[in-house]
Amino acid sequence: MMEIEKDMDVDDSHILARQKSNQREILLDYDYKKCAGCSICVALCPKNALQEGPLQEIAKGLDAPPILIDLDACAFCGMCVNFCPTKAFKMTVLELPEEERAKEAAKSAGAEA
Amino acid sequence: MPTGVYVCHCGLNIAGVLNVEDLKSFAETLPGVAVARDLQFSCSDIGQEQIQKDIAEHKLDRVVVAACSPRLHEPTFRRAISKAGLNPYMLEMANIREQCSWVHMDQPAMATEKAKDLIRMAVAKAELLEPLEPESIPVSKDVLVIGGGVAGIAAALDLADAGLHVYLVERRPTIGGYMALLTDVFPTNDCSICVLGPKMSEVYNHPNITLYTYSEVLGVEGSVGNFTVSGVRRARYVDEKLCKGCINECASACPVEISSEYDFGIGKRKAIYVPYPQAVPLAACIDPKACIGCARCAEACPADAVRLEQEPQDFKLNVGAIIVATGWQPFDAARKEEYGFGRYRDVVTTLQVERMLNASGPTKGEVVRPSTGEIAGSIAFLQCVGSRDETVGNPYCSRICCMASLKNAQLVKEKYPDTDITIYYIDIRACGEGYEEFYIRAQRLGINFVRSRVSGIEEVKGQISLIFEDTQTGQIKRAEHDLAVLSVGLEPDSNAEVLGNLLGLSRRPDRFFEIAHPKMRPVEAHIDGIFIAGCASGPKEIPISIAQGSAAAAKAVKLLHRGFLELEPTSAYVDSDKCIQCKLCVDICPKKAIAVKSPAYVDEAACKGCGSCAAACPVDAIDMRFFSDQQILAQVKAATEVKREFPLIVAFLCNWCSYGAADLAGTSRIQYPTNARNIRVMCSARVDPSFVLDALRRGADGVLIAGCRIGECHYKDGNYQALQRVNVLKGVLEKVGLDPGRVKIVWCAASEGEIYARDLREFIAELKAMGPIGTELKRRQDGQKPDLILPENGSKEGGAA
Repeated sequence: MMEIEKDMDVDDSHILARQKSNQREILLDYDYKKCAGCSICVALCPKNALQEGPLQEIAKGLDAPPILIDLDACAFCGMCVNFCPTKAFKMTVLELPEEERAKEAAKSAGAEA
Repeated sequence: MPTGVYVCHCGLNIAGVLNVEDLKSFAETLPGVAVARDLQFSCSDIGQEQIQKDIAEHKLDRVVVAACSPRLHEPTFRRAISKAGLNPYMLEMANIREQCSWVHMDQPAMATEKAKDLIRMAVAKAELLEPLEPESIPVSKDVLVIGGGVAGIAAALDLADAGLHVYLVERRPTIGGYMALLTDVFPTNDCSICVLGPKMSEVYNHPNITLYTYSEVLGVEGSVGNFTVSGVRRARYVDEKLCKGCINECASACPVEISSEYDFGIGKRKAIYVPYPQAVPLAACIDPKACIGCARCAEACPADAVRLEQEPQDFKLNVGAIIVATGWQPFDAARKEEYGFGRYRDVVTTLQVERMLNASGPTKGEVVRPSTGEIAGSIAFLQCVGSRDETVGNPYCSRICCMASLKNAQLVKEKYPDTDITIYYIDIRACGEGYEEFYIRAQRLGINFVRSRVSGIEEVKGQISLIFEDTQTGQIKRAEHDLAVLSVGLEPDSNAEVLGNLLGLSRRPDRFFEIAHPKMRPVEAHIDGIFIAGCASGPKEIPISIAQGSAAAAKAVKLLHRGFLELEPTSAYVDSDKCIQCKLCVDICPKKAIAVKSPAYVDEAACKGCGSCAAACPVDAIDMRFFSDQQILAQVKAATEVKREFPLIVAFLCNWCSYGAADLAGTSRIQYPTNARNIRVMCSARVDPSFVLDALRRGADGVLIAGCRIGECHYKDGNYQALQRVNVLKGVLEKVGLDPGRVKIVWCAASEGEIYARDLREFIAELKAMGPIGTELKRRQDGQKPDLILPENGSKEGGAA
């Protein structure tokens, strides 16, 4: 079984969701300052991992992300990235180098044993 | 063109009624006849030797034998003359026994006159015979099997073991069909996959089988012996060779979960999945409709087998025969709205229960209530859901549901003896080896049987409540259960419809594929070289599907094992100068043997020689090698040359049924008047309207066309075409002022000699009432100014009257 780790960080207006397996690291970067709150991503997310935030309050001036990410549900498929009209989502995939993969694999094997 | 004519005594069978001497001397006077003899028994060795001696002595190049029916001894005499060096097709027979001496025993003088006409007709036709050579064409020894269910597997393995190469095309990602999903199977309750699994892997490993799973046939061209098949192998997005079939690595990483079609909606699968642990080939497959493209599976796969960039691949095959084993699909229980399937969670179908009972199924062998997940304490089985039911358009019995419910009920009872089980049935149909015993065993186990048809299901306080009439007491009752199992019927696979159209298969009213003969040819389609096995031709149990698969394989081996096919030289051919490319013949051909590729072209391997195209061609560009227009017209002319009786009828009888019926009337000694002069044609559709008009023009009082019973044509629907032409002809006759009743079409099966005789008697009576041909024209002329003039030779008709 492939081990998958996920975590989430906030850096200024960027919400950084990260998924790490023994093969690669995927970073989903949501810059809510760029987000127009159109909710296209909410409608198309195949895992229903995206939800609308307090849009009315934000419209009245509240500083909050218009879209909320459910990290547990997110599959890091990248559909929101591809469809976002304001390019508020960005995704970077970091393939782990060969030796690190082996190390990770050994680690997870060790953890299982 | 020296012709020899041999009049057979057949002991006293012919000579006892007809004046054979007179016939012989009559034959001598006919044009082209070099020698005429009467023989005691022409089919005996002495008779045959005499014919062979004359061929050598008189340099005969064609032979007429006036004896029994050609359906009996034509092969004998063909052999005899070919031994003497003549082409076997230079023979013509005059049927003066079955259709003359045996049916006119009490009117010898008239019968002798009729026999003279029959001999004159035969000699006239013989004059125009051409030597024909049976052609042989090389064939592909490969066979395409469409459908990898149990019938297709049986066919593929038998063919491969016999040394033929097999291409097995399956639409799903695994072979095995429905049988692979069942739990134990009746009547012995042995595990289904345990007996099928080894066969599936045998298919996969057989050197003579090329397996195309997740593939579809898209086009079929050509005919028996040489079909060109094109198809596509859909993208699995997984390299079949690299995938180790470890099942869980990729699937457990996949974030998408949907309901599994292999569990009929009660289990779940991922977007990347192996259908079931015993799947063949054991390789994962990505469902493109469900996949969200996250590529986690690609990461998780230890063999690096995931190929998200994979494309569909086209393939092209050349095969000699095709076996269609496309199987069935379950009736959609939601169509019976009154049973609430899809609304009440505790109403399930047989197949869902099969999956529940299956140890590797979604509930690991427990029969549970889907609403609570608890083991069901009381179960109702409802029979005939979607079978024997006109309201959903399925009047037929699905054959396996009674036994399947008996089996499932027994399995539940054995596992949980306290379960209360009731089967609500119309009739229990347990006919098969060991089936009745199986039924009795179910009764002994304490399973309840209620003869009824359930009218509706309601959910009352979380319980399933059935409303039904107990048809043994006549009372309307209600009964509560934890779980209701709908025994859904079998329907033809809806995906096979397109394939059926590609292959030119016909369908029965029940929408299953039609076989060439409901009894005698159970695995053959109407199209040569195509065979049908298993549930594609109707609901069947596993053993019968296997038997049909093997039978279809044997038929294909018989067809192809020599590597060449011998063709009967009776096919149609096209005069390319005359063809106007109207494509009428393409639509009319029952064997799909004609293609219009500027001009029309007849595939002689596929043509069966019915002659419907020749009759339909508006410019007479198509003719037949045997039963040519010229030959038939010569027979018509000879039949009407001397008119010794009234009414004189020219009758066209189809070779398969009506000619057989006329022969049977003879062997049963049914007596009828001598008025008809019979002309044998391969099919009633061969009768060109011009033959009929020519007969009437030459003074025949009526024309009879007899075909197989409607729906029983040996070429599919030739008799419908004949009927349509006769209806048009009647209109033409009316226009020219003749009684449309002068042409009549009748149907009789080969077993209906009595009906043939009756129809003929009726027609004679009708014609007598009408008077001789042309009477109606004269009457008209006398009455008032004629408003219509016969197109040609009108005077001749008047003269005949």
